[in-house]
Amino acid sequence: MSMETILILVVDDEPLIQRFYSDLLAEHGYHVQIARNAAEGIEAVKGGSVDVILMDIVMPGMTGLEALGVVEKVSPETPVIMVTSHPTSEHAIQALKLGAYDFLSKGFDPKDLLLSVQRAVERRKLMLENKQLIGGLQEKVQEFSTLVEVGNTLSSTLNLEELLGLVMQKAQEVLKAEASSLMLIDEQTNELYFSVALGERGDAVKEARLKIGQGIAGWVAEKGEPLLVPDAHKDPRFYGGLDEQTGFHTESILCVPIRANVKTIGIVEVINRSRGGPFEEKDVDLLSSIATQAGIAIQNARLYGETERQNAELSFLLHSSQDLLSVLDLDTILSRMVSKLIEIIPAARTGIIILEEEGMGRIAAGSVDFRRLPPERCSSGKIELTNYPEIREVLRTGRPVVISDAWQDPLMAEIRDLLRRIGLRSLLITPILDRDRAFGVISVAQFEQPWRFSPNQIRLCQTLANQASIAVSNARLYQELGQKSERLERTSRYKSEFLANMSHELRTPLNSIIGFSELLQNPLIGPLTEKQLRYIANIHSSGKHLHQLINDILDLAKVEAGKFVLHPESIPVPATLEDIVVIAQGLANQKAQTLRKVIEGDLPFLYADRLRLKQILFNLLSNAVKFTPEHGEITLQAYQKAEGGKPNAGSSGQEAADGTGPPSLVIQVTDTGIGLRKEDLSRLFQEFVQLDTTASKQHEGTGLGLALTKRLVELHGGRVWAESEGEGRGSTFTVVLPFSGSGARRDNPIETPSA
Amino acid sequence: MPIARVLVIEDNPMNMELSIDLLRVQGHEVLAARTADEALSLLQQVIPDLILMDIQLPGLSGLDLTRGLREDGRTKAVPIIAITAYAMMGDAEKAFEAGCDGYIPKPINFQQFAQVVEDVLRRRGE
Repeated sequence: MSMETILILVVDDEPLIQRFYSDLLAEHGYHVQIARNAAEGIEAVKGGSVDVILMDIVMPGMTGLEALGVVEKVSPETPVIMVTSHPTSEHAIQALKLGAYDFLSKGFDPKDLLLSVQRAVERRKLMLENKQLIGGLQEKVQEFSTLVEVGNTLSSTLNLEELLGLVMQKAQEVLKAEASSLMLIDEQTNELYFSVALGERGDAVKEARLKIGQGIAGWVAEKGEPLLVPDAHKDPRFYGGLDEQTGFHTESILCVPIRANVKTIGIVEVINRSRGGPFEEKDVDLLSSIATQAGIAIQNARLYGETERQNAELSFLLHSSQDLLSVLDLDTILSRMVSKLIEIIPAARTGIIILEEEGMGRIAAGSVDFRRLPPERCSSGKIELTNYPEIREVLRTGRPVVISDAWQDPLMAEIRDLLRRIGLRSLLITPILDRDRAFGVISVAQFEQPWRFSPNQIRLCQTLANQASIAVSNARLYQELGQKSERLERTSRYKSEFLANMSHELRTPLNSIIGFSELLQNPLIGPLTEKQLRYIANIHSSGKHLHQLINDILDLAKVEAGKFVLHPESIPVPATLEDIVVIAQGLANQKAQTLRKVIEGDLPFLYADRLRLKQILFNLLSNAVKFTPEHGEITLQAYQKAEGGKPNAGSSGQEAADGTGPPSLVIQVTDTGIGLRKEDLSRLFQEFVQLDTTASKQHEGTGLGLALTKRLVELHGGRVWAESEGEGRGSTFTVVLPFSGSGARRDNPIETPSA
Repeated sequence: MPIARVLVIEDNPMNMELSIDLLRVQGHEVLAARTADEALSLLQQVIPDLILMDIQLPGLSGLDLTRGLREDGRTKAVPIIAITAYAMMGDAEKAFEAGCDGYIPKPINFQQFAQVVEDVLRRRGE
């Protein structure tokens, strides 16, 4: 996005204003498109090539603020600068809340507008870069959403009721029961309601509800434990109300809880073993397994909607790129991941472990019970890898490890007894990789029953591991960036302090040297002998020389340090030249030289730092006076450049002989002085180079003037070079400065490239 | 060049002597104070035509003193010229913002010094 192609969209209904902005911006090299109202503006933005928008608030039809809202949605990387002739703080606050980049009131200083546009352009560049970065992350989130949609094969038929009905039918069949039902907890009312009711009592009970704690079902729901009741009527907990209602006679009941994570969300029960005999212990296991599956199905179905919402949340966070790095620190990101996992793979103990020093790991995030592992597995949030063969294996191979039955798997042999004791049965461990090295793992554990992790679940863990990996490198990058920028800040501050101190320290003794030596030459303070006066005069002129040297060095140091600030403004050229010529005239008169000024035509205003321009001109003119003998001639010429200035054979060849370039001011200082040798033409502008001629040895000079002049000219986006026919044949110094300046920004330290 | 009674506020004795000589050579009458406090007591008794102040004073800074003087009805209209070895961008602005009428960087250029003093005194006369 170079200067040539920056497109500013001006949205304002008044033609005069359109014209004003348009001219102002075009003058500074921007391309401008005009929209007469908000609707046109929005259409233009949709085109996609607008870089910055300048928009009026008060317009007929859709207001600027409304349009701002739309633009922020359509093209959030296009900064909008709102302008109004009725500045109110409500407008400003609203605009900024809606996402405007800046807010100006009409009657602003054009420089403020240009500065704002300048900054908006830079911001846009940044945002476009971020967008690319985020695009990658977003793809991951999409992947993740798809996984949830597809889900577990069991939950893929998301007609939940149908599914549960089938499940209960199976249960009833297998357990040889007369009736069965599945009840779910209504959190609002703390009641159980029927989701599925099969068998003889079927429909009759559908509408019934039980309080948590009421009846066998209520008891199971409350305690979260299975219950085997051989003779219902003999059990005090039995609630006979339903039987009375339906005329059904309940004999034996087997009821187990449906759990999701640590919560009980409902119960399944089978009633009355047909063909005599109550339910048995092994039936409990069977029904429990069925309940687990049902639980998963229910959770998935419920949380599909919930997950969608959270995905949207995550996407939103990713969109606001600034937030991503500052709001989400690593552990927070990992915690969110664990939450997602818990939803998708319920009844599991889930955690993310980050490696620390040799053989130790830290639990960075985990489900509630993950953090409360028995001391053999964990102490104060840290684990020892010696207790975790599964994690060691993953770290070794860099690949996920799936263990369906940890009580049988040889990998886990060494801790088999422990695992049996705590009931940990199945494990899914996924590595979080940084390049190729695993620095952490996602661990999913299931209990009691061996668990077959589905391909989708395994894939989900891998997706999350990828995200975690990105999050960690982002977090690290952010930290590094922070440190780097802190260091840069510090270095920059040291440089500034140094320059300020040096400046002060050097000038203080000079004040005495120059001041007193000058005073001593005054008869009122003196009187001194002739010899003493001569010595004092020498001290005085040395002091002045030193002062000049220090100034030049400090200026150069500032330029090198990037601390050189230009204060450009629109300068009338002829008047400024006159100021300098007047001073140079004084110098020329002392050597009986003729100084002429030739200005061709009407010169436009020059956008430059007035003080520095004078510094440049004075340097060239004083050099001309210095290196031209008495009675010589010096000419200062100024004209507007039609085409690129072409160097001829005897020049320092600093610039290309191009015929293009922005309209520029050309200033030439020609003298009939000692001239320059060809080999000196290029060395001339280097620091501390004073040419090896007797003439220059006679002259006081610091050797810094031209070096500084060159820098100053370049800071203004211009060029300077010297030409000469040869020694003794005079010389011409030419400066070319673009009228509109470039690289000259007000109040911003310019990043000057180190030589 | 109008003759004036000038109060010089400078804590360094050599610099003070230099400034005094500079002024005397130009024919002005000079009063001296080495600190802001001394200056303030002097100002109780006499109001000078011009104040020459080194900005870097011990204790109360030159700019704070300037601000104070600008708020006091008796000294509000006395022109103040700030002298300082700090010559970074913005130092002059700060001086003017505090209420100074002129600014002379060190090392003092005698011609510039004379010019600024003359300008400031003349403006006051208007």
